[in-house]
Amino acid sequence: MATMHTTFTASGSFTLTDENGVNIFSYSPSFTTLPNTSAKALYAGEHLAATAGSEIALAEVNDDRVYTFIKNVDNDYPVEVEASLSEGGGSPAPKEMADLNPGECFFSPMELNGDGSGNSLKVTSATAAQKVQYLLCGAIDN
Amino acid sequence: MAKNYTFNANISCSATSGTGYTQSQSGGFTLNLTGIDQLETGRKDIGTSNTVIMTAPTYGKVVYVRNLDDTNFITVYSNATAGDDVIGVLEPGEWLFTILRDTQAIGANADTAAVTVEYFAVEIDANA
Repeated sequence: MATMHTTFTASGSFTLTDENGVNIFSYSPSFTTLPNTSAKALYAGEHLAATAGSEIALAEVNDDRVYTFIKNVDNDYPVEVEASLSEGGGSPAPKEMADLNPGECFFSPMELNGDGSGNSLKVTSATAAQKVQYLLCGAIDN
Repeated sequence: MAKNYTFNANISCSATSGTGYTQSQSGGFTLNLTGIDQLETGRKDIGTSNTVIMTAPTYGKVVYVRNLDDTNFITVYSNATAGDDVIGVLEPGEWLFTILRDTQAIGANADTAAVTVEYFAVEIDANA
């Protein structure tokens, strides 16, 4: 079969209103990629973020850029998201790219190998394990 | 001057394979922000050396950055200087949104030439 491609779309809506009802800003960004024939895999699912951290392994994505959407779907504690520390253990260690309270979500074309060797995401819950849901897709190289 | 705000965010993402296989995820939430002093939004040129988007907040922030350039990519950092703390790498037209409950600044640098970004960076308080 011929090489398949993947197309990714991200849309958002963000508003800030002050206590007097004044709209401070409103943004509605959106983009759709061209068909990417080098994207080998897309991942969607649910993952239990452990208090000591647990990895969402991404064996076949582009380490340099991965479209990453993650949502904390649990009810109790925040979850940190970072490029995996254990893959590289570089110095300085990778830091969190998002801190998600219950119900919160984020989106970013993430780089997983900021330290030169990572290829997975690490999610860490505070206090007790929490569930996250995710959509991850390989992006084109920068 | 107003110091209390309501922030709303909604995000939808979908990935579609040439096979017709599609996966989608979405989410939305509201933050009630109290006693906010640091709020920046608009457009800004990002140079090839690191450009500060937001100076260090007291507790944390919500951040949105969109690359408005036609050609060059930018790298966004959770830091005032470039380093390992990459939040995202944005090709032309792409954007990111994240929430960080820390006191790091936010910076960015362009690859080969200065680019313009659309952005907001809003401080959040300890209870948000």
